[in-house]
Amino acid sequence: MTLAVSIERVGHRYGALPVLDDISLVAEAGRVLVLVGPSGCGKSTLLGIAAGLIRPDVGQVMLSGSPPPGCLNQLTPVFQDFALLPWRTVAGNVDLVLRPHLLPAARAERVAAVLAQMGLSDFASAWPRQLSGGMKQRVGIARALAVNPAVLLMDEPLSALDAQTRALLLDEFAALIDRADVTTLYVTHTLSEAVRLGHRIAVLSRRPGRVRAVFDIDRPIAGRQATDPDLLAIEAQLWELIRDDAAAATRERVDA
Amino acid sequence: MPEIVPFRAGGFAPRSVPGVGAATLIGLVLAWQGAASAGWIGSLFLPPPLAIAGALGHLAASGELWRHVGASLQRLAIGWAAGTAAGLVLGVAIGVFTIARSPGMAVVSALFPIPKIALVPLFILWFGIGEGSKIMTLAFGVFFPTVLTTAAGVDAVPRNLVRMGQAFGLSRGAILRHIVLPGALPAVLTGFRVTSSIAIILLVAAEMIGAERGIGAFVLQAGNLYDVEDLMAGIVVLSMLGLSVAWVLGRLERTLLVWR
Repeated sequence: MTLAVSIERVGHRYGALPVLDDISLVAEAGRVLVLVGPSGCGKSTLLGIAAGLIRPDVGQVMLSGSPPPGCLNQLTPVFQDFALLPWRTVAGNVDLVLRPHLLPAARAERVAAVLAQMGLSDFASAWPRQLSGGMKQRVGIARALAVNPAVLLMDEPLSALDAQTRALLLDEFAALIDRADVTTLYVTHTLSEAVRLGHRIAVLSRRPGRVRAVFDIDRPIAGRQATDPDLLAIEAQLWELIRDDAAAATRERVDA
Repeated sequence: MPEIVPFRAGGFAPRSVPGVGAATLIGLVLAWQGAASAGWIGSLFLPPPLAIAGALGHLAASGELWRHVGASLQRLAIGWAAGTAAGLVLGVAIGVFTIARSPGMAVVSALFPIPKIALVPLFILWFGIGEGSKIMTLAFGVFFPTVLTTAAGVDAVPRNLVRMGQAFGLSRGAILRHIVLPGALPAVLTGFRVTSSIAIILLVAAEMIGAERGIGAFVLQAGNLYDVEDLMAGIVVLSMLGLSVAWVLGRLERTLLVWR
């Protein structure tokens, strides 16, 4: 088992600008909650609040249940821009997050294991600047897996990558997060990603972000296909909900 | 009529060519020697490089050169290290702690523009005519630019990297050691290049007041005697000192910033 995340009546503003208003959502233990919505609706802010990296003006985020055995960092982020330290090697980046918890020999063993899991063994001593975007994000995932997280917080982890890499990594994400011992909060702009990975998809309105609709997809992630008619139908419904807000958000940016 | 699209994106990408810098210096010295040999430059006003080399040889053989260089290097090392260490501490504090930022920046902004040479008489009053005033002049001159470049370097560390450290539960000390300080290092090393030059300038100025030994004192003495060959020998030593420091810092950058 692992932790469930309850977002309770969360509101937030940046100065005079309200970005989130009365958001209540639950990510059940071991399930994937996907947040979608137009640009600027506060998805990433909500994820930051859930991660404890942004203090909400109103409301709170509660964790319930027990973390999985061996969990070293309950709430673990995967960043859109990878957030790798350029002055540490691939192995060094993973090693750093284990330093507070493990002795050097155990760290080396854990680092080797997660790098092997992500197909990065041959790049252990490479510098981040030597890696492609897809490889950098693999390192970001390896770093997250190394601490055996209870909750993965993924902020558009594929958006900085090209389409081919995105498709390949999406398959790997599906395999990684389809586990009973990790709960995932996943922010994306891409609706096909949402229906591929989400057990629950929350649609936020444009700023200030409010929950417009919640879709539950009660089937295992592992067997989902991009061409599945049911998933395509949900994707179409999501687009119906988001389209007007997305267009309005785009007009707001142009006007600004 | 079809036309070939011309390439239009050249330039604005300067690069260092190995050996060209040294060749340029050697070429200038050869031109200088040639002009002096041809009689275009009077040796009373500017002695030729061979005469300066001869003066340097005499000074080295007599041991006088090493006494002056030794005294200067000792002052330079102590003064630069003290000013740099203090500047690094305050610079990091300004970059990290709210409590240090406003007071620290106010003090630095008020004192940085003061020409440190103007403070030498005051330092002599405070620290005596001996080594103390000279070392403090250097340290004071190095301190302020070190504070500013270090604080700017810390400010330039992407905050998402700090948030990453926090999100993975790293302690404040670990974030400082493994994220903030390495991230600020390029700016700090650039600051070293600036402060090492400032230190050499202040060293000579401080040694020209009440010093018996040191390159500054030697240059002043040679100038008073109109011994232009010895004077130029002292200036060449200062130039070599600057080049050596720049070389050492270049090696340091290549070693410490290998990840770039």
